[in-house]
Amino acid sequence: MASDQIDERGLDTAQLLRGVLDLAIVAVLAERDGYGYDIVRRLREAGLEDVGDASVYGTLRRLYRGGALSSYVQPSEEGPNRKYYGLTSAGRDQLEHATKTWTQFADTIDGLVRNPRTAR
Amino acid sequence: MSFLHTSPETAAYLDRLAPLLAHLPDDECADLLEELAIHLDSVLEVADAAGDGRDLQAIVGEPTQFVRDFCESAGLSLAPVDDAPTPETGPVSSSIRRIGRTVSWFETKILGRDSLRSAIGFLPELRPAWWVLRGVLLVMIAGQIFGFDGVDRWGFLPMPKLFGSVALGLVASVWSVRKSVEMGRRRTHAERRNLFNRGRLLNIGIGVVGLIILGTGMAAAGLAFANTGYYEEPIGGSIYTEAVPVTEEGLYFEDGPGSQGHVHLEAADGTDITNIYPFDDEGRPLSGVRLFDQLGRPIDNLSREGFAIDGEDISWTPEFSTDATGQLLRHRFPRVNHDDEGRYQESPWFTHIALPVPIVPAETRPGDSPPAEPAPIAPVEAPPLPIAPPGETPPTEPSPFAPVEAPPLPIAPPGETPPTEPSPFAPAEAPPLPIAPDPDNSTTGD
Repeated sequence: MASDQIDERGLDTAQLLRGVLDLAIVAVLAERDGYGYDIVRRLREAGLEDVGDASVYGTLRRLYRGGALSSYVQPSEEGPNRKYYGLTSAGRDQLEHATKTWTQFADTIDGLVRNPRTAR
Repeated sequence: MSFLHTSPETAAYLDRLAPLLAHLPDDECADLLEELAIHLDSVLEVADAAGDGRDLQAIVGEPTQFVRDFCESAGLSLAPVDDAPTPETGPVSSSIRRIGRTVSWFETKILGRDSLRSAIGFLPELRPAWWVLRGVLLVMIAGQIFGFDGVDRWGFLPMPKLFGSVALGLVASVWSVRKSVEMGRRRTHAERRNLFNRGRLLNIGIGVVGLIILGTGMAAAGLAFANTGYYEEPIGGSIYTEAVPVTEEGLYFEDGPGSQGHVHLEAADGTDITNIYPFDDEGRPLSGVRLFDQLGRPIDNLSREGFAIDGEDISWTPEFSTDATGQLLRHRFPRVNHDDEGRYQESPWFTHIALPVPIVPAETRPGDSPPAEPAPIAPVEAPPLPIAPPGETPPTEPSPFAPVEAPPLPIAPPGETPPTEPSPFAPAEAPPLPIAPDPDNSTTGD
């Protein structure tokens, strides 16, 4: 998927996605461990249809290097062995903090968007 | 970098990605390409099933954009533009690139065919077998290095030897196979896909060296000349002929223990020697000749297999002579043969070929004047001579071919007077025999 796609309303969804992709991936993996293609598929099924394969793999690498993710290889009945990612305790902490940040941020933006005069 | 066991589309895409990721550490680059190979194959499969085609560039974007997105998300720097293609100069580098292009072409054009892809796709299933074989080969290599003998055989089964001991070799093999399997299972897909990585080259080395040691070891143990089979004993039963090494002459195969040390003659072209027709040095057939090998053992165990003449299968059985007491004289030649129905066969094949009459140049006696012209040479092929039936008087007409020397004599039994060497110009006689002539010589068709 090409990045930097701007929809007809002028909102750069790709930029938005970049900011929250860490959280989205950590949230997906909090549900259950997954491998690269599986994570991409679950993100798209959740509604993030524009998420790019390369961005997901890059984010996985960064989260792994940062200690938020662990990885292991698991045999697959359908083909070659797959590299699975799972959350570490640091990853769960990151999910918790990021969720709070995102909720606060989303509430703020939501307030601004819905009632600009009452927003602080 | 070349990729095996992936679709040609994925391999081609990864080939374009690899140089763009060359600035990453080798391990990380290989690991990422491994993951992406599986990912892109899955993407292709889904796209193909949905009817979206198999153009990866259209599905996941240009390789340059892909790498840019990846690096930005991963927090990695992009490869400098100049470094991306990693051009190399020099004859070696260009040769490597040429090989890489050839391999890529081979993968795309040849290995990309469905039938070959399915066949090649089966190869990974054989990996566990290779891991086991690799473990055993490693012990054989070690045995060869430390004991100069890494292979033994039990029947047809090669056995690893270590320090000259099969038991030690087996114990070491158990350990080695276990380690080999563990290594194989740990090995990443990226390492397997990279055609020229160290692990693959090491595997090739182990395979080549190990198989050479295995082959030479088995040959030394006798399997290279595995000629086994059954032959009939003269009187009933059959004996299994165990494979043993060919001797230097390439002629003798020792039989199994049941043959009591007799020998089985085979010609250099692989055909069985089934009978022997001795002639004297003037071309006259001899009868009642007994043959012994260089160790004094009787040569009596010739093949009894059938053969074909002019398209007609002929099987026959030799009949052995007996002495006055009825004792078998098995090493007397030529033998008389009987076919399956007991009918006498008078050397059915032998009458079809020219007799091996010795070819001797004209001799010069001491004091003779040298001939003005070269002495006449005997014709290359003498006409077939009739075989004298048993009891018939041999022809007395002297041969025009003078002998050069007496034929080699068998080893005389201890205590017996050595035979006197016949005059080269004396009338032809049968060479002295190591055993006293059979008084019952005319009772059988010798």
